[in-house]
Amino acid sequence: MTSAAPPTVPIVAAEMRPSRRGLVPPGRLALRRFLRNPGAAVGAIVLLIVILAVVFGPMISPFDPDVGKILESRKPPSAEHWLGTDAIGRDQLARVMAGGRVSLTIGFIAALLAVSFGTIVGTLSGWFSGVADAIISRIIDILLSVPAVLVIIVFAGILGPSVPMLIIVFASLLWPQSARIARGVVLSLREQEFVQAARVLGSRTLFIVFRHLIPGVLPAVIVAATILVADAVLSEAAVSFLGAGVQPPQASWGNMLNDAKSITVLSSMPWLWLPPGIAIFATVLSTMAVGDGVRDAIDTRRIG
Amino acid sequence: MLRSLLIRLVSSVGVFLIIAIGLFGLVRLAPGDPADALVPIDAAPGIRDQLVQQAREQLGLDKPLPVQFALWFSSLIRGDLGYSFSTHQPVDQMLADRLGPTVLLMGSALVVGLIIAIPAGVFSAVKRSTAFDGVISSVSVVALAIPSFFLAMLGIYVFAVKLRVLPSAGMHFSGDDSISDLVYHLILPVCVLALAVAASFTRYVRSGMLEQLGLDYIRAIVAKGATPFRALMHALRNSLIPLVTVLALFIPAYLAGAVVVEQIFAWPGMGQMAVNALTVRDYPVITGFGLYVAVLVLVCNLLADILYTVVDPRVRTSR
Repeated sequence: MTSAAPPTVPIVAAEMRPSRRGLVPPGRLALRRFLRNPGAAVGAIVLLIVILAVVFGPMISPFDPDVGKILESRKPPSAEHWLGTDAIGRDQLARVMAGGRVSLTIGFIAALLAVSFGTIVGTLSGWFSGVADAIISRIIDILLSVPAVLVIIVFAGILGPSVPMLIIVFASLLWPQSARIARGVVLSLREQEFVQAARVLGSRTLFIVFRHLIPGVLPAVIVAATILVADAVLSEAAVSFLGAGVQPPQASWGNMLNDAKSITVLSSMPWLWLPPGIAIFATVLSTMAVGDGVRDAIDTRRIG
Repeated sequence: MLRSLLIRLVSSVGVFLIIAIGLFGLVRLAPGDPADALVPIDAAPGIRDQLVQQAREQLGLDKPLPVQFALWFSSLIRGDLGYSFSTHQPVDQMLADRLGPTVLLMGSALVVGLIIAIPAGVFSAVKRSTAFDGVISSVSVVALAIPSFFLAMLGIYVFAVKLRVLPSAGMHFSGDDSISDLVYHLILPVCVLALAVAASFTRYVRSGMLEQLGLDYIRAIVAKGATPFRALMHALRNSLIPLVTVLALFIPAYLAGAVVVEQIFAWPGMGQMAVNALTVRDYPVITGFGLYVAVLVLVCNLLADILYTVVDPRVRTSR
């Protein structure tokens, strides 16, 4: 996030040069800036590979991720089982791909819910200000310091672990991040002329919010959403690792590492714990890189 | 200023009450009847119903819900959190016993993390946009993306299994209570946790320093002929002000990190207790842990507010 600012000046000169068809549209400019950023481009490719693998992998794989042959347990990687087999003979590659489906689904749905709710609450809070804003800001402050992992331990310990519960808890603890960002942007937007004009023209509040404010807030919030996805994937892995998240036999990257934490597996069967660990790491890192790249690409202030 | 702190204190108490009601309601929603669970299943059917009824009365479960809550809450205020279903120890005692190792682990990790983060942040701000800055920021991004338990597994694999220089788990070798043995067992878990602390704080120190170094007073100090070191110290002092509140707000997140690390290193702290309770559905222990987390979050938020006013004189005198 704090990566060094790219040398913008020469790039601007090249970018702003009108092409034969006139000025380059801002969307394509942003895309070009995004692809020129090596971290973002590599991140996007890795993320694309991960998404393709978890979406299509389980369809192609000849092995059922949840059913194994007990006679073939804990076999090292081979031509048949590319990543070996686990303690009850299930194909490890099939499990990594199926586990990724679960982890990414939880991450994306939770982030989507959090961003939608957070954007609306943050926008309204910034627009109306006053007491409601003060209360919402206070709730945001407190919720931001509540760690999802601990809340899920408590909920799973009382109600039992379940995937919908994970999504609900992540979404309800992640929305404040996007709400805070949306609120900040709205506070500056509301003073600008086009919003003032809409007000003077007698536009209804809801119209202003959805026509003028939310579109202005979206770029910043979309960047924040990538961080939320990364956050949710990491938290899901942690709670499933602790046994409070996705339950076996269903695979998730976190609970696969939980199966592999004994010292015998750790010391002599690296194929059981390296792949899910690397998968989490690669997904989170590339999501963050893509988020950074998008932020730098659409941040026109940096160039102006 | 005092008035606003007082309002925050009162609202924190209110939030705690809401959380307590929530936890109480959650346990009531949970599947299973605690009175039924207390009576052995193999008791004769006729007598068993009677025993269950007796247990229900003993636990106060026959009273209306608000009365039950009042009873539970009043004993909670007195520090009585009930007894664990699995170990039959008082929950407050269990929490107190587990607090020490967790505080030791988290405290050491915070200290080590800050010792790394402050110089790293200062130097990457001073050497902005150089290779050094790039390396530091890449390392901190990588450290934030790697799950702590995976890092811990890698650490155990390299240092405990391959190199055999560090223990893989526990707090002591059996029969050895010396401090050196404790430190020996602390190294690996503390390093794993400290890396996460250092990664996030390096960024805060760096951006704080960059902001301060651009201000006029730094130019004035340099113009006066002071050494660069002196100017840096001034900037550092001021950039640490927001850091103090961030630190307070991060403590609950570090507890979450510690819970995970405790699990993999078999560290006998609160996290291990909570995860054990989770697997056997030990409601009183889980509720106790939940209340503890709630108090920690609220206290850390209050602490952040107070520290903010104490550390920054402009805030203190403005109201």
